[in-house]
Amino acid sequence: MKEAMTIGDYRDVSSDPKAIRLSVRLPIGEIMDHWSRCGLLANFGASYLAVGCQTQKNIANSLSFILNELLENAAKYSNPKDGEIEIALLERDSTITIDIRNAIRDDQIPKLKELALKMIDQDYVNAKYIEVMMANASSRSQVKSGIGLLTIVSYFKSILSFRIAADGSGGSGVNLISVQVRIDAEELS
Amino acid sequence: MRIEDQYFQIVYDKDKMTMSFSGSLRMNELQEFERVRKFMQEAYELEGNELILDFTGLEFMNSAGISTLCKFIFDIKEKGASKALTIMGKNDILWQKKSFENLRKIWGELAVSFV
Repeated sequence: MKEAMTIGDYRDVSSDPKAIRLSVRLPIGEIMDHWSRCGLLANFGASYLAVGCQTQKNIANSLSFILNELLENAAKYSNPKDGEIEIALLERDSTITIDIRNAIRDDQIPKLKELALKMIDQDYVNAKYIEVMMANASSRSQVKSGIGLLTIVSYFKSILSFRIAADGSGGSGVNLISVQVRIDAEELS
Repeated sequence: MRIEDQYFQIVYDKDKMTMSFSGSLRMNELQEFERVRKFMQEAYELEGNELILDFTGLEFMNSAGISTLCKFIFDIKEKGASKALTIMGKNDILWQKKSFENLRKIWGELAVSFV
C-alpha cells in the first residue's frame, strides 16, 4: 500500500495543540505476556481523561471499557507481534478521542477494510450486534466478527473511523492501522 | 463455592441462591472464561427455585466476558429453563445497563434489575 487510506471520518490527532493529550507506546509482547496490562492501562488512561470532564460521573468506567476493547483488539490482531501499539488519548472541550495504532500485514487488509466499512454504519451495527452475540452463544468458538468494535459502537454513541498506511520502518508488507473512536463525554455517563 | 483471581472474585451463596461477581473480568480468550461459565452452570443446576447473578460489585467485563454470559443464558433457553434466573446490575455503570438489557433479547424470561 503506497497511499494512506481512511475509512469513516478519521481525524489527525497529531496537530491539536489545545487538546489535552496522553500518548503511550508499548511493545505488544509485554501485553501478550500479561494480558491484564490492557485493563490496567485502560483504567489509567480513562481516569486521566475523566479528571478533566465536567460530568465525571462514571465517565472513567465507560472510557476504560472502550479503551480496553481497543487495546485488546490491537494486541490480538497486530502482526508482526514484535511491534508496538501506539495510544493517543485526547480531550478537547467535551470531545474525547481515542486513537490506537498497530501494525498489520498486507494480507489482513482486505478483511479489515470490509469490516471497517460495516462498522462505520450505525444501522449495520445496531442490527448486527444481537445477531453476532447469538451466533457466538450458539457456537463452540468465538465468531471472528469484530465483536469488540461492535460492542463499543452499539453501547456508546461514538464515531468510529480507520486509517491504514504503509509502515516506512516495518519492512515490506507491513502497514499501520489506526482505529479511532470519537465520543462526546455526555454519552459516557 | 468460589473462584478467585488476582483481579476478580466470584462467590456463590447457597442460602441466598446468589452468585456475586466483583472486581474486573477481562481475560484474553473465551476458553479462559469457560471455568466461569461452568461455575454459573453448576450453581444453576443446584437445588432451589432461582439463581441470582449479582454483578453490582463488578466494575469491568470485556466483550469476551459478555459473550460468555450470553452463551450461558442461550444454553439455558435452549435446554429448557429449570428455574428462574435474575441478573442484577448497577444503574450507573453504562456497559452493564446496555449489555444486561440486551440479554433479555436472547431470552425473554430473564429477569434483569438495576440498583
